[in-house]
Amino acid sequence: MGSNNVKLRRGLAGLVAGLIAAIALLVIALPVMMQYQQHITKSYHIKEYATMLEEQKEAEEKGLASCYDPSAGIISINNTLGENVTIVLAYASDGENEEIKCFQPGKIIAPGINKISIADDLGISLDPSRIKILKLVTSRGTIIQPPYCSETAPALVIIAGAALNMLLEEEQAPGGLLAATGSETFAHGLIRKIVNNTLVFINGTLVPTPESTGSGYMPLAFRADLKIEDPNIDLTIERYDVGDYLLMVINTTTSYDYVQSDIGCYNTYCYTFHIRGEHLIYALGYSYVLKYDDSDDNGPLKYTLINNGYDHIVIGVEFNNPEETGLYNGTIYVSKVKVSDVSESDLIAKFFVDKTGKNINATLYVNGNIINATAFYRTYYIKDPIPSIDQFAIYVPVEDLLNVEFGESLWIKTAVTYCSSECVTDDSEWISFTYNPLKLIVDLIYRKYFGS
Amino acid sequence: MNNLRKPISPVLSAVILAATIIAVGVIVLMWISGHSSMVIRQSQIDLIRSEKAAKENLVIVHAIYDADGNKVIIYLINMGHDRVFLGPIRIPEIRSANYEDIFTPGGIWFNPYTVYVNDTDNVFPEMVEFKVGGFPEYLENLDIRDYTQIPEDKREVMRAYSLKPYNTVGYYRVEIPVTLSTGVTYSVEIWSLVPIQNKLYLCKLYATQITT
Repeated sequence: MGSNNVKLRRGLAGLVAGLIAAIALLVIALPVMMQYQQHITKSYHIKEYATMLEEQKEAEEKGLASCYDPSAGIISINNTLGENVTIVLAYASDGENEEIKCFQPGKIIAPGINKISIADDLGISLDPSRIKILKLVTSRGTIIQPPYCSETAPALVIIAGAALNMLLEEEQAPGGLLAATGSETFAHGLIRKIVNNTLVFINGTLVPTPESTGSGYMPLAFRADLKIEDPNIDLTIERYDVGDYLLMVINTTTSYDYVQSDIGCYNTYCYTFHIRGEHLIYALGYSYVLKYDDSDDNGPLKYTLINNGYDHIVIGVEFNNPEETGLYNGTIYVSKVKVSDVSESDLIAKFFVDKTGKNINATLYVNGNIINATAFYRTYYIKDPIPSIDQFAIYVPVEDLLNVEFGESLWIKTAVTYCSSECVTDDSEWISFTYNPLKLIVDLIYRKYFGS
Repeated sequence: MNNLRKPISPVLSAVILAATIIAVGVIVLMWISGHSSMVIRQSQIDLIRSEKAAKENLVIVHAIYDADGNKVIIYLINMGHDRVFLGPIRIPEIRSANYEDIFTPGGIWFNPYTVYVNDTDNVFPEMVEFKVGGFPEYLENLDIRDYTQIPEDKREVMRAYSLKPYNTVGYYRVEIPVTLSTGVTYSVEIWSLVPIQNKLYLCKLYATQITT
């Protein structure tokens, strides 16, 4: 009995000793553990804060569509963010002279379309028509670099989530827009046609062809010369750039041409649509290719061209010296995140234009795969028999290749090397571009007139 | 023969046992806490750097090469953090034996560059000088393989320009005296620094490209 008591007391004593020791050790260890926990919590908050700032910047980049009209010296900014954005700094350069203006308080960009005069509103004294680089910095640190507004394009407007510059439907012209006798509509490029009785649906990426020319003998990608009975509506559009996107629904009993014509198209089949005479336009949607200026350094790269397509984007370049003969090598970099090393881009497209040999090549490199690309180019006959090519663009199926979704931002960079007696390389800055595929609006209008 | 060994009091045995466990525990904890205090100190430094980096928003508005003046000009704006310390700048493509690609405020390591306030030619931001927080880190990030190229008395010291927010100063113009070839693309790496416990640590890398 006595031995059992002793054992019990020893056991209890051991237990008490263990408890005391555990409490003592816990008291010593607790501050260390608390410190660790604080670190973990704080790191988490810092990460959240940094992510929030990054998201705010991304949202601002996506929500501000802009372009610059050099003839009027006006920047058009469509603020779709639903809240004011503040411009705190403006930078302008004509290639030789630079000017920077800081604003305190900043210039407010209200929701909706804003017209900003670079002279009156920003106080920039450079000749507006000679400005080549224009940058606006917002209070969140976002840099807006407006491309030139296309020659005949109004300010970019976002319609039904699609980045179209123009959308004419029956809401604007009830019963359709009657293009009377003498009217003409022309389109060339990677376009498709769907017919249902007298209804014709045309959509696709446009490419200029020298077989039809517009003002100044420019190769024509699109012409709408519409004689409208309503005197309030007068519509004449001519476009000469690679990469515009067209969507059109017409109703006509007039005969028209839809013929294969592959001029300006590489590794695909292109078509020309041409109608002369009376036709009724139910819908006309148009997205102008964006042109990002890079002519300040007199290198071979003049513009970077980017536009949304149905479920892809078109990315290209305009060369500086269309009259030159020789070899152009180019690279297009596309990345979901801005990378410091271009070779780490998610997609790299390489192209080659030999004007003299009339030889063209374009290849996509993505995830170790090599894909023969579809490409487009603008050619003239002015140096016949050697075609003078001055625009080159590649069809990039970003949804298929990069799993990019509607509204996501992409970083795009182009580089061109021109070789005659020696080689000169010229590249663009990284351009942030929001992927707004046009399939939503195209499918919507298709279903409206052709059913599912 | 009687066994005369007296049983030890259970209270005494509890105290001895507790003291032994505590002693061993304290020794183990001392070792752990010595190690952990070192880890905590490093993670405190990392935390402060992350916090500064998250708040820092230095914007490279534009970078251009002035061929007439043989200099790279960079326009910078501090978007609101109380102070951003501008440290080493690197143009990796011009690297040669003498580290021509590394530029530091006041030329404390290798070559100098200058920062002007707005479009002035004689107003400069404040320049600070601290000890270097992690010398190996500088060597690694600036790709310095031969540290003997840095004079011994300068190895532990770095300078930085202190840039204030745009709403108090405006913008800054960085001028880097360098001759570049034409028709070539160069990248420009700009490091900001953060002072922690009177030492300057590399904080955040900003980068841009210029084509001459």
